[in-house]
Amino acid sequence: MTASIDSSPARAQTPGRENGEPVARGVSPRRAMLRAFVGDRLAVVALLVLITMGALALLAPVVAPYDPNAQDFSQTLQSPSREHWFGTDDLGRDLLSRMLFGARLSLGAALIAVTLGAALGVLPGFLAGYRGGTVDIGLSRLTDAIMCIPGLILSISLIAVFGPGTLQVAIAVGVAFAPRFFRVARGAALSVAAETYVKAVRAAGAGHTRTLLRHVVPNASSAVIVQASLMFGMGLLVEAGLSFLGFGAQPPAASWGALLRRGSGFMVEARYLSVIPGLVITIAVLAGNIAGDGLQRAVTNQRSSGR
Amino acid sequence: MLEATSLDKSFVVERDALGRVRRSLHAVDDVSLRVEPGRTLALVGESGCGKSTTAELILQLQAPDAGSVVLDGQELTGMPSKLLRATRRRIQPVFQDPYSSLDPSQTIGSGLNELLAIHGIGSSRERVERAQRVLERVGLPSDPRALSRYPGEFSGGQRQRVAIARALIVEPDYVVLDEAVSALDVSTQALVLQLLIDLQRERELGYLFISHDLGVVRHLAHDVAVMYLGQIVEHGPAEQIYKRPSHPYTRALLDAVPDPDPDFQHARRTRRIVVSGDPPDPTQRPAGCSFRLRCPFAHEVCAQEDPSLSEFDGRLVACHFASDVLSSDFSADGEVVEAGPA
Ligand SMILES: Nc1ncnc2c1ncn2[C@@H]1O[C@H](COP(=O)(O)OP(=O)(O)OP(=O)(O)O)[C@@H](O)[C@H]1O
Ligand code: SF4
Ligand SMILES: [Mg+2]
Repeated sequence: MTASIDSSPARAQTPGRENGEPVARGVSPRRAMLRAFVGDRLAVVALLVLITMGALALLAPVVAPYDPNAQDFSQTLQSPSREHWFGTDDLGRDLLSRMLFGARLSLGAALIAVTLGAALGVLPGFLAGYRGGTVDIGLSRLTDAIMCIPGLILSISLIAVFGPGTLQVAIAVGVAFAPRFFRVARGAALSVAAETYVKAVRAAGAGHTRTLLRHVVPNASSAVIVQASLMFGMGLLVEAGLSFLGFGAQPPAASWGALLRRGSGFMVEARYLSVIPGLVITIAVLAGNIAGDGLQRAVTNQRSSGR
Repeated sequence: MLEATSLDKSFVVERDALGRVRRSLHAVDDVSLRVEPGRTLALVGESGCGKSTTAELILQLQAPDAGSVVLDGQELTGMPSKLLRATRRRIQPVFQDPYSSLDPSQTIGSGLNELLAIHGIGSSRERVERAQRVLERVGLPSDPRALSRYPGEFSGGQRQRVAIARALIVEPDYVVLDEAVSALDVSTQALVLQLLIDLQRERELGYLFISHDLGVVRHLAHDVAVMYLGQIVEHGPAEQIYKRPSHPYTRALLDAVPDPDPDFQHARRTRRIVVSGDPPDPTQRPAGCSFRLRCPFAHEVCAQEDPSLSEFDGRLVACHFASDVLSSDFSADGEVVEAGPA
């Protein structure tokens, strides 16, 4: 190494280049991630689908053409038509209206499950990944123990204790999700904790709480956000499954899974009663996964280019 | 004065089924160093010899198995973390990798502000002014827009300047620079080294400058400590070490510097030492002198007795044959080879 020393005082340099070496103009990592996501057509479409579904669910009382529980025995088992876009069920209730109100339960349950799972799993995961040692061992053992129980069985036994209902299902699914959030958060925090900048702020005098909250959490959270979006689709699916088994919303209220369950009794005379809920569930789950994958790609791209 | 005495640190490499240690690695073995205000102690040695571990022991990022770190008479090892914070301000780090040593999600300004906040320095207005002053001092733009930039917007050399600004803003007395310029290209390296030299003169900073590269060290070291497999093998004034190396390993390191500065190079001998073989597995250190398997000067005694670090010709050296190394154009079995035309 033959560095000849230039004795001129350090000059102020234009940001963006040093010694002629051009540097990519950067923005905040979060914004770079957003930009990458927006460039991903499919993921954006998927997200728009979910947002539309959410908006329709919120606006259900306004946009639903009929009272979802109003029975009309002159209109039973009507195929989709101009009056009833999704047809009617055996009690003459309008399926479109029931799907719109059902969206509130299904999307709401998935949202609650994901939020609860994240609330229970993420902070302990960050803590375990950052601190390591006995904190990590203890929390990881606990998680392993919970994960030994298959999610469905865990959910069903929780429902057995608290009774059926959409909220109960959401909570049960959320509890079952917590270990997954724990693992993702722990892994992300573990890799952030090994970064030199964590060492640097520790050496500069930052305490553990500050280091965890100001440096580990912001840098590890994108992995958790990706996980949350992927779990949303799974939450929908599990809620649908549990409702299909009869653990979810109780009549006359009905989530998408419950509608599918009722519809499945009329496979021959009114196929649309099961096909439409099934299709909508599938679209929503797919949209959740595609949006989550897009987010994942955006995070990875941002990380490899934003260095 | 920042003084490390007899630091020891081992890592467990392998445990058996019962959790007992099967293999361990003595990363730092009885290392004593002293950094004085306004002076630079360079710690050199090849990759994996324990330089970074030594740095982290001194920075209190790891706890030593034995030994102590004393700052102006105050023992730091084992100090409760509340008390340690105040002394941490006085010893600041700069790490090698400018790409991972800055938090990518934090703007430069907020990072500098945070360091001042940790130590309760200044009002928020004063902090911004200080941040701008220190950025200006290290040769970076210091306008408010610069403060709101993210590390991703800077080049490697600029990031290393940011890292230096971060170390300086809390007005430390000592800076531990672990391969601080190694990742930079040659011209950037020279600029950053000059900045470090100027800052030291201005602020009486004491540097522990860690590097695997004696060519870089030459520019700023007052004292040099050469490390091999966790041990200091030669330690003394830079001039002595460069001109009159007395440990075969030091000589080999110097001979490996491709284009030496004639002023500082040891009297060029007609022959130079080339160390044969790879660095040995640090978990299997040979008995006796740990350098003996690669040493062209080794005799039987080297296998039996580990040479202790002792006074010789105005420096400390750990070699049974230091005087031979110093005085001779020693040649043995082709391991000391002809110096090629420069
Ligand atoms: N936490 C750890 N656990 C196990 N082994 C470790 C640990 N940290 C360091 N080591 C080992 O200790 C030895 C010294 O490592 P250290 O990082 O201090 O070397 P170094 O001189 O800084 O090397 P380099 O020039 O590559 O940075 C190496 O063999 C390394 O593999
Ligand atoms: S003690 Fe022996 S083996 Fe060790 S460096 Fe000196 S001569 Fe070489
Ligand atoms: Mg190192």
